Amino acid sequence: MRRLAPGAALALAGCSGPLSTLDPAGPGAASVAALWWVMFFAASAILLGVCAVALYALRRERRGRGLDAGRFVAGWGVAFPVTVLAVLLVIALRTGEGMLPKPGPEGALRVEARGQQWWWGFTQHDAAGGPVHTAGELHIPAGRAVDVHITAADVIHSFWVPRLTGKLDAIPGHENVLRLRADAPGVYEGQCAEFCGLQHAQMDFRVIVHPAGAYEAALAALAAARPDPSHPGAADFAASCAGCHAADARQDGAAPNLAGLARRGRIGGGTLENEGRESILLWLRRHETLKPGSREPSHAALDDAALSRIADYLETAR
Amino acid sequence: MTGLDRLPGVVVATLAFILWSLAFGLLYVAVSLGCAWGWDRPAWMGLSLQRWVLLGVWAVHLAVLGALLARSWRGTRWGDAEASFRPVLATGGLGLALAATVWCGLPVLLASDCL
Amino acid sequence: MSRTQPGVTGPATPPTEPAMSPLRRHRLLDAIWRTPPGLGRLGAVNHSIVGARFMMTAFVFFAIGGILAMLIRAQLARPGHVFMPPEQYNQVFTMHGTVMMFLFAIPMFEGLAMYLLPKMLGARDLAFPRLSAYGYWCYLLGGGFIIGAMLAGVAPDGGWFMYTPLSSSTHTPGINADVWLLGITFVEISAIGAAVEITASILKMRGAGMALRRMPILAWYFLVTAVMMLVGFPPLILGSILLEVERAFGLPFFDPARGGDPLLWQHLFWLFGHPEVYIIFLPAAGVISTVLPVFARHRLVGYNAIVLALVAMGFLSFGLWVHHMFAVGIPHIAQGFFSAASMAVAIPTAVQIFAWLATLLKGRPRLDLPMLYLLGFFFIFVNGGLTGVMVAVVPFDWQVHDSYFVVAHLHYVLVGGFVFPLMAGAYYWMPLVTGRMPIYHLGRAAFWLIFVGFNLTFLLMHLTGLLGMPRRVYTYPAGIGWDWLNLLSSVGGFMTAIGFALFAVDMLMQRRFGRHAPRNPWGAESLEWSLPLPPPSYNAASLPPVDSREPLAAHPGLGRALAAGQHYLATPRHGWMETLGVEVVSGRPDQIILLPRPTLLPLWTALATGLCFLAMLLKQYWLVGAGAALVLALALFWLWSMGMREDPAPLPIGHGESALPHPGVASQPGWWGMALLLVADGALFGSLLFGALFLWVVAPGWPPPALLGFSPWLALLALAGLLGAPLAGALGLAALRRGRMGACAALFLLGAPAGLLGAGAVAALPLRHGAPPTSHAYAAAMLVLALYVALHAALGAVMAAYTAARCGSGHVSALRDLAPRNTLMWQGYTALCGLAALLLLQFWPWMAAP
Repeated sequence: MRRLAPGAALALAGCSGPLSTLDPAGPGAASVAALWWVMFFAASAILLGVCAVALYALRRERRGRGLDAGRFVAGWGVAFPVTVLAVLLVIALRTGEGMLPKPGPEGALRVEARGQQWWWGFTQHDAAGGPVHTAGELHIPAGRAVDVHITAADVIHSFWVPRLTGKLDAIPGHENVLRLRADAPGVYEGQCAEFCGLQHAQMDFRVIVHPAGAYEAALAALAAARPDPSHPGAADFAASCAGCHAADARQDGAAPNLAGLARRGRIGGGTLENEGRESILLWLRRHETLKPGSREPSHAALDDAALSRIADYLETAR
Repeated sequence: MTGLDRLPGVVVATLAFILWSLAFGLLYVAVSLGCAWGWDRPAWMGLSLQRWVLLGVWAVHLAVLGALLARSWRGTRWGDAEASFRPVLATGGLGLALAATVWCGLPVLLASDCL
Repeated sequence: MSRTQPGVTGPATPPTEPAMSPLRRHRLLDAIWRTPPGLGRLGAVNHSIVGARFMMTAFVFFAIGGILAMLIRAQLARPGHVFMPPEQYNQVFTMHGTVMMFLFAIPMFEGLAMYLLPKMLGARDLAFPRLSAYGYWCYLLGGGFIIGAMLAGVAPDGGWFMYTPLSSSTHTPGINADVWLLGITFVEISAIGAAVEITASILKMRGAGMALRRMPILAWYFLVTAVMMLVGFPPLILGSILLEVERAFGLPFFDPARGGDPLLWQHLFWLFGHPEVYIIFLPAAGVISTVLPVFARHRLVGYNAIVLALVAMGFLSFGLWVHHMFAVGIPHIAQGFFSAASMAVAIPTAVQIFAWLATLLKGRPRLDLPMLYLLGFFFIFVNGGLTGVMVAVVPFDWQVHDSYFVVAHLHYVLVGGFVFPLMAGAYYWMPLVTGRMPIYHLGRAAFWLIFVGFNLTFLLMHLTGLLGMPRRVYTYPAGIGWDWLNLLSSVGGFMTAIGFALFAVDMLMQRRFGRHAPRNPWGAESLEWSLPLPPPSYNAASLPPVDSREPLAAHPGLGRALAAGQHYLATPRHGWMETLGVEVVSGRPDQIILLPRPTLLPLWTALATGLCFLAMLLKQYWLVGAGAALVLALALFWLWSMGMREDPAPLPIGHGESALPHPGVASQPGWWGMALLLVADGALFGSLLFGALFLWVVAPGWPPPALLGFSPWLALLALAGLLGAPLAGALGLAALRRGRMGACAALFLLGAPAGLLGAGAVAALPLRHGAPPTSHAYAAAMLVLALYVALHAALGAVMAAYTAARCGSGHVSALRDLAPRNTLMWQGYTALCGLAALLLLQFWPWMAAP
């Protein structure tokens, strides 16, 4: 794929995008994308061939009458597809094998992903073995194999980061393991791919890939990104939110972990771009209309001053 | 042998594909049971018990279908006429079922045990 | 063959009654066969009327599904567009899939088969005309039930695949999911009925001499499809029952916290769902194999190879279901088996494609209107087939599964593989139905609108999917490359819709204004074109002998000879509705089948059945029981009204041959009906066993906390009842053969208490379990298994008592033995299932203990 014809380059330009399977950024997605281009050109040739024969058959003057129909059907209907499919089956199985979470010499980094209506929670461990819980953003190092252990809390979801590798379902009662590897640092979009109810469309997440050397530091920063406990909003938060939300990455909770919320790019599983305090406040005021059906209870009992204090408090979590 | 010759072609083809279904179903069941019960550890000659079971299931069905096909093959008149209907369905059905059994068993040789 | 095969137009035998004029014959036959006017139309059982009703109703549902599709496209035309709130959008896309799959595609096939088969095979009606009518009413009521729920705003909203736990009572507490489960099961009753009907009719009711090897190719397609329905639909019926039971009574089949597994639903659903794709495609492919040769002006190349390909597809398509589940985390090697089978099924498809191409190449094709639609088919369906091979590739599917790539693929396959051939078929057969020719300009314009609009919508959707857009999202953000693709897809979608509207207008115009069609307007070679247009209520005045695959090519004057009464069953007698029954393989006549008259019974029975479903939806379980008793009573009355009280003698059928009326023949349609019903029932029981074993091996939370105790006495009682019933039945049948009617009646009467004993003892077994059935999937599965057997044993008891009564009323004799034989078949089947169930109920604890 290094030297592209101008036409192909143009085609590829239309194929990029934050969720594009054709713009791979890891070996899993790259092998599938390569497979796609092979299949695309082969299938196009076959399709054009079949249509050309059908149109040719409609011409009045032609020499098709002497055709040995038995051989034609046996050759093109059996021998040809068997040959093509045999090659494809072998390539398919080998490609699939290459994407499995096989034990390797370097050992894969273990992270956990849990899907629930309608957000993703992630748990991983720092070098000291301490847990780091995040929501909506998964932090991994570049160039290293990562095994995502996928579970579901309520209904079936599916974990999909198209630029890195294929999807794998999160199924209640089961744990599935997906092998990921990102070639370079960056931000890769992910989303839920299995219909999971009302807000299936608003269940995005991001995989944030750090340079290999900076990964542990990033985890440590996350663990430290607690909001300021002396802030006046802390009391409001403790009274109204802390029952479900932890604001400390070391603690898990029933609702998304809010440590480092101020640094996140989005709020509410992709519902809102996070542009600072105003975005958090907007969410606190209007989440019921922004993301109807979400499990977050109504904030009608809180006055606007309390909501502002909570937003300010969460804004300190960076 | 004579029994097979007396059956209508479509019945022979159906029986042939029932054998394919058996092979296919048993391969799938063997994988599920084997992975649930830990047959995937290396056991004998570098292959796991799982792999041996799969190879065995596959081989038995291939052998039966192969033997039936060999018996049916002689004297088959291929063609599109009414007279060729029975032989095409009987021999063709056995041939296709055998091919499908070979084909669908290929992952036994190409894929890993329980990942 | 030649022994009973008279020349078709030759003078070998004189016509039965040369004096009768064709007009008088028509009046006599029509008086017997016609459906009464006015309210009497509600009692119609004639295949032409019921078939046409199925097709028209299916087309109405197609329009409803199409409108829903337009709502989807309106919502997705722009990013962030709020045309509908998510709860409404979820109902709309769920209903679109549900309507198109269950209320359009399958019933359209059933209607087409019901309408065409008797005409094409040379018969006067189907094997069980009242069953078709009952099926139609079930379909109409079930479909109306679902659409009614949608209009009331409580349509199902969990996707047409209804995955649990999303569809469980925890996550979907309203009645939306119940509407789906109950409504679809109601409609499935009609599908199973139609499958039994179509299979028995193809096997037994053809023209004299129409051996299997010379059946019209379409009949082969319909036969394979109907058998696939018999085996393919029961897993879904079982799944729906289990899920409804879980929702209504808390039996945890799919709840991982209590030993269930959501994956079991997916297996049962796709065990149905993938064969379903082929059940939809095959009849349409049959239409192509029928229509294309006519316009290629060359007989179909590769008849034998195509029949073989059909058998292969029938089986292979049952080995594909897991390719809908490549992302659920099944071992790669198992995915490999299903991936390989998914690719293998492309081979029989390719055989057909190239056989059609060879037919075109060998012939002198003319680009008539149906041919235009067939060319559209080639492009669209081959495209869908190729992307089908792509999604069979496991790693590729990991990427595109549940993305718009799959939406594009499935529409290419279903619209290309079903709708386009069907529109070709509509233009081809409309002259048969209405007696009028199509109007070309409208048809052409409709084609181009649909073809261009469809490709605009769905070709682009492949790219939308590759760019990462997941299915079933009610909105999407701007600026990630999906905007223009979705906008163009919406434009194309509306274009397609206008095209379909034009098609509908064209059909109405043709019916009203088309010029009258001459007999056999297309120069076709199959029997339906030997009939006058439109065909009379009895189809043919005399039934044709058949000595080749292309009967009209061999005997161009056949139509006139049939109308002149020169062939079989030309002269009506006793006001009977007669048609010919043949030996399955050879096609030699072996009986005169007497068909039942129009009646309101099917309608009443369907209404009573509907009452059961409605009562279940409203959770009024006493009413369910009352409704079920009503259905049973109506069914018994229905059966009682048929049959003969004295032994029939062979009667002349024409051509110097004679045959017995069917009540005196062993291989009569009623026997086949029971046998085929038990095939479907067996598929259901097999799925239940699969489900229990699947939970044991795969589900979390096993082994269960408490196992069923060993109850030797209860098990022995159950065994005695379950085996005693068929034993008494077998002895009764033997007594009947020796002419001892009293002993026969007594022995069958004995089968009733035996069946009830078996039913009671089996049902009591799971009660010996310490834990309630809601505690664990094991206890729930054992209860369902026991209840399945108990229900069959109880129904067997009713049948045994019925048979004894039939012996007493003189409906049974050594010759007229259908009731005892069918009862025995049922009892034997129940005993087999009972043995399997007892083994699991009593010995599983020992196997599962370690």
